[in-house]
Amino acid sequence: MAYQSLIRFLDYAGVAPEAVATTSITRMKKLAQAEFALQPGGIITLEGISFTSNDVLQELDHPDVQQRLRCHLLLWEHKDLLELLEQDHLNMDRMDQWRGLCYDVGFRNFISSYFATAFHSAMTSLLGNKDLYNASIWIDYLAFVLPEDEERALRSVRLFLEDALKLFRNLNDTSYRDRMEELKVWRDDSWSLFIDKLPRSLMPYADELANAIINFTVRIQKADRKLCFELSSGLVGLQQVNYSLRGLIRNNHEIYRKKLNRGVFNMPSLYPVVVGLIILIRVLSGMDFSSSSSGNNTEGEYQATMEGLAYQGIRLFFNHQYGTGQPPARGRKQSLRNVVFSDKPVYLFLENWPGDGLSPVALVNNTRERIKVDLISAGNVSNVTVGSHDILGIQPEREHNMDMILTFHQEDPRLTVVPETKYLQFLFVSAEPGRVRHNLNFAKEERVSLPLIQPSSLKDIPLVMTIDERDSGYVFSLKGKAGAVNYRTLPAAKK
Amino acid sequence: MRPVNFGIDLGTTNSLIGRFDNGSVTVYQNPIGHKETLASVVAFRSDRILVGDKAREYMLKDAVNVFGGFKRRMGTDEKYYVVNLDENVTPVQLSAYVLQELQRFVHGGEKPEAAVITIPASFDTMQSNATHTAGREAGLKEVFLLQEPIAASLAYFNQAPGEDHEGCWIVYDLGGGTFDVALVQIKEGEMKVVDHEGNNFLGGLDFDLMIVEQLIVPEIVRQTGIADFETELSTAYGPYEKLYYELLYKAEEAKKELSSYEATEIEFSTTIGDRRYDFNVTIDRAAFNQLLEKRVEETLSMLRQVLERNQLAAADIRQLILVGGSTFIPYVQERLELGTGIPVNKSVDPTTAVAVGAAYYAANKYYTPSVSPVEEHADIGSLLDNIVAAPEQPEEPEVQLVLSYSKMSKEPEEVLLVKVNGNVFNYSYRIVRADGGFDTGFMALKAKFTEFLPLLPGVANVFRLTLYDGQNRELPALGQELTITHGQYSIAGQPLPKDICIEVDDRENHTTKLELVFEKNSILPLKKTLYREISKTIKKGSDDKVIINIQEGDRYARPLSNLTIGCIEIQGKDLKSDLIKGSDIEIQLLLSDNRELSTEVYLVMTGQEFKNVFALSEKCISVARLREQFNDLEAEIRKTVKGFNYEENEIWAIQANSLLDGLLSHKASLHKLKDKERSDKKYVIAEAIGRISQEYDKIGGNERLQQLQAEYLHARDYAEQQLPACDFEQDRLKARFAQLVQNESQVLRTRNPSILQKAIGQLNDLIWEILTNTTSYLIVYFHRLKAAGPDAFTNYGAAQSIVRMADKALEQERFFEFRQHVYNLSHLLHNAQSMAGTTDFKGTGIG
Repeated sequence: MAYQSLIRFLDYAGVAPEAVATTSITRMKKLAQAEFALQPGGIITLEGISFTSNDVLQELDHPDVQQRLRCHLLLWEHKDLLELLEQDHLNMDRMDQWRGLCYDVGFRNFISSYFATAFHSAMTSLLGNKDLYNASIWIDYLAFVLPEDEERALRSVRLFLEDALKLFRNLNDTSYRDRMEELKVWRDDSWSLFIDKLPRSLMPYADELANAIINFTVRIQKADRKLCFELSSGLVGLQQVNYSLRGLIRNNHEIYRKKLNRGVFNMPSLYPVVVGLIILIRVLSGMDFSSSSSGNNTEGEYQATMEGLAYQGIRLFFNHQYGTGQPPARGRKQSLRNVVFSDKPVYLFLENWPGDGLSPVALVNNTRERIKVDLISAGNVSNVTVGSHDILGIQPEREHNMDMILTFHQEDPRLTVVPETKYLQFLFVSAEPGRVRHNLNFAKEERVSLPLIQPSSLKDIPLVMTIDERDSGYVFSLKGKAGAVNYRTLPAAKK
Repeated sequence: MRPVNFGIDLGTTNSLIGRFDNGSVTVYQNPIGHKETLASVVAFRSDRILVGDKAREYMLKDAVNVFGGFKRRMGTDEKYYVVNLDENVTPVQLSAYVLQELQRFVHGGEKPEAAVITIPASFDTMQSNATHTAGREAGLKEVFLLQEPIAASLAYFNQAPGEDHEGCWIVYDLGGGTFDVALVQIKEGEMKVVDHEGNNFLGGLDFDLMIVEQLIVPEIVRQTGIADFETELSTAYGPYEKLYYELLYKAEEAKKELSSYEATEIEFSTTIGDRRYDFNVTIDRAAFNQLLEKRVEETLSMLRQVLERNQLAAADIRQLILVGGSTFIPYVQERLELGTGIPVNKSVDPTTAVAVGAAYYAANKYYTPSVSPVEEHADIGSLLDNIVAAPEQPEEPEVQLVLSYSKMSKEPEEVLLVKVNGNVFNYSYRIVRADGGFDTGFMALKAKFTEFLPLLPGVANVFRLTLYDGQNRELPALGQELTITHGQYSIAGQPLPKDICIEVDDRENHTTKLELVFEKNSILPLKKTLYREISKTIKKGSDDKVIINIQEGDRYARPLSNLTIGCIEIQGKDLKSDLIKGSDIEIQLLLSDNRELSTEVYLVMTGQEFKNVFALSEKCISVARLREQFNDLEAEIRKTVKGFNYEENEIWAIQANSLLDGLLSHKASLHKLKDKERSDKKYVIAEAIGRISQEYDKIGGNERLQQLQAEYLHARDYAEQQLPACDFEQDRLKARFAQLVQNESQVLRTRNPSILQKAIGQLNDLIWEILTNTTSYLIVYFHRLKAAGPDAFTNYGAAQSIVRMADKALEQERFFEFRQHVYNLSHLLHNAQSMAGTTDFKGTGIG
């Protein structure tokens, strides 16, 4: 259902947008009838949008015309959204500006059927371009679509998923070579972000697809270890698949990783001695945690204000390609190399935490700035602040993996943090401000314990993450019990 | 732009022309005979063509060269052979002759350049296009079409402007050849035709034919003993050609007499075989009424449908307004009064109402004249005089005013929109109402401006628009006078009589379905762009094709029930490159005021554009195809009746049976139909099949849909529950299940029971597959088969042998083998059915 701005027509007929609220509907109808009577074909085309008397009069005859006029005016004020609905033109750079309109229930009810069409169209284009990163951003805008219009909005997604299923089910360890172009999109693990964001109605596809890809990786594990690992890396990012599949994915991934390391790299020293500890760093734009209150190296407080940050919904990312140092394509917007991470936070993702072996963890802030730390563990978010030259102790009780979001209270805006490594995996965790995907469950027994660590006892701590300030910027270093985990090239901040 | 003002009622039996002028309508009289009506009859003499009553007189003398009732064949491929000319004429040409003759009624030297021509509301697009073509062939530069019930409503409501008309009204229009019933709503002074029903083959002509076939012919057969006389009489160019038309003529006269008298006589003489017969058939009103009963009941049924659809009771309707010559028949009036409970209003002149209403509508329609007003009445002498006599006149600016306003209004004010072409700088305008009660004062002239003009109630409000130059000197040539009659209704446009849909694939159900493009009762013109996807890959150069099939009819009906009004086929050989499944297709549809359909198709992937304008004005009905469709529909309804009876759903079974009866009542006529059939029977039957097919789709209404939805959900839940217990082929069956339910939101939203039925059928097939892949079920099933007697199997000996092998497999827990034995055993059952085979569904290629 294509949208036509009634305001555009009324403006043409002599009712300026600012006069719409005060002009009687009867007068508007008369003006419309007079305009159409003069058109030989009965159609008036304004800036490429065609209007018929039926379009205009039906809208003005609507029982809820005043409310609809309010929505038409609101749309008129948001030209990017208007352009999307009328002309199918999506400006992804500016869509944040109208994102908040989805919380206006009346507006959402009004726009839903039109938006479903535009959503489908834009999604078709993104999926057609294999731009799953942006598709994963765009899918959040499904918030504008009512459940009854969802099927229409998601037609292209369903088609894409079906094609993907067919692709992975039909490929074997030789035929895949002819379909490398089609597999390209699955080698960049931003697809898992997209899959994780699928609405409930399409969620069955996530398991189906995961199954199909798992089976495919098994088929090609000998034929193409690299591809196998790349696909598996994407699978690791999937959060919405069922528990047993996640276990399988992790186990497989570990195997593929080891196989690949043996086959491709001979640089064990570059990898943590602690099995499975991977540090992934991402600097994101647009996150704003500044409103969150913080504690002072005390036991974590579970902040209600953090409900908007959904663990299940915010993660995903892509892997820096092993060995090459080349980041994968990031869609049309930016490449990793070019982006200037002028704002923060930094994300650290500790994966496959080996039980108590590394607990507690210490985070040493050797900078002149306060660092806010959001600890995400098992769906819970704890939020603390580490003061300048202070130490944070972390001891997860149950979960063996954890994200930490470090937000620098950077006073000098010229200081920017850029990732500068070619040896590490980067986990990109994304989140949109203000987005509420689902409420977090703050279960008491899953809290993270924050033990007090004295500087003198740092030498006994199994894993110490230190953030130092150098001339060139911030430098991370990790030291581990079992032989030094030293990442010389962790994110550096440059002036 | 100039107002059209002329309105024409192009009737099946009579036609009229009227003109709107300053708030009132004049119906022109025939200069010959001074009657307002012109018989819609054309006679071809050897030296001239006669139209009207004079032509009708020749019907008795020279029937083969005289043609009437052709309105009902508009939009068909029918041709009439004119013996005198030795050539064929089409219904369009014959209509054009009538329209030309009507233009001669207009006195005062004015020749209409544009006119509004009325059509029955139920005219399909082809019939409308044919009427439009006839208008153009009659010399009209521009033709606007208007549905007859709207015209009748305008005439009725504008004849009593002071009265309060708020509420709902029914316009019942039973004419010479067509029937329309329309629900008109007047709300806050605005008139709208909310809904309508109709039959293009129900009118006076059908009553005449019934008199001939059911009252006169039996008398001829009785007296002559010729059993197949009716067949011979109805054969085109048969031995009784002249008698056929004579009888029709006399039947019409008898019908008219029966409106005033209790009985009438039809006398005629003819030679049958070698013998001359004199007949005198007496027809009384009771026999005639009995004849009409079924057809009049059909009209009542349509009236009730309109009320039901709009959730209105008889008490909600203010009055039932009678229009059309056949409403003079006393039986029709009686049945309406008794059968509806709605007060019947006979105050409107049923003969002229449509033409009057058409003229009211024409007042607010504009066209571009072929010559300017100055040129039109140019008199070179006077023009020269003007030039010489008026040297002091201010220089006429090179501006042109185009005015738009409604000449009728129920509101206290009316808008005037003025567009000015040319340089407006330094000029001003002023609008003054004739009584001085309104004056804009001097206003600077703008390229476009609007003024809301206040109206005095119940009178013709005259306004004067005057233009002034920079020195405030009046520019008389550019001044204009506007008359707006307060208290009269105008109508914004005419509604679309039927839904316009596009046929798209329903691949899940191996069929096609209709998707609404333009909704019935939307005001014309209409424009829409559809964004769809290609549902199958089409290789460049292949024979595969995408079919864009635009249909007119009911959106909930099966495509079979509707009329195709536009079709574009894009073949593989038309493509620049392969068209991949899922690629975008943009389809832009424009339906003009006259229901001319323009289609633009853009294939995004190949960047190709296909355009077409469909102005189909001929409907070709193949009798053979008609029989096939009839048989298909009959079989389908019979199957449904069986299903309803099985479910003990008596009411729906009765409804389905009633539809079946209705269908079967045409069976004999259909089988008797000849390719060279003279009468309208094939169109009557085609119309009936379409209508019954639509009714069949809607049987049971929401209740049936809800029942089917519940049945669907039950089947789905059952399948879902059984899947985990499935021992063999679970993955495949799970995938199949996921596939079946993936579009269930659409299936559950459908208004078409057949789609739901198909979906349920597919789920049931899947359930059967799941069960027959579940060991526990197979064991139970096996024991039932084992216990069955010899009569249950086609080969009991073989069955026993399989039972033994199955027992052994079961004992040894070789379940896979056991399953195969059970399958084999089931195949030996009587009435065993093989699993559903593959279908050869091609579809439209549009998903």
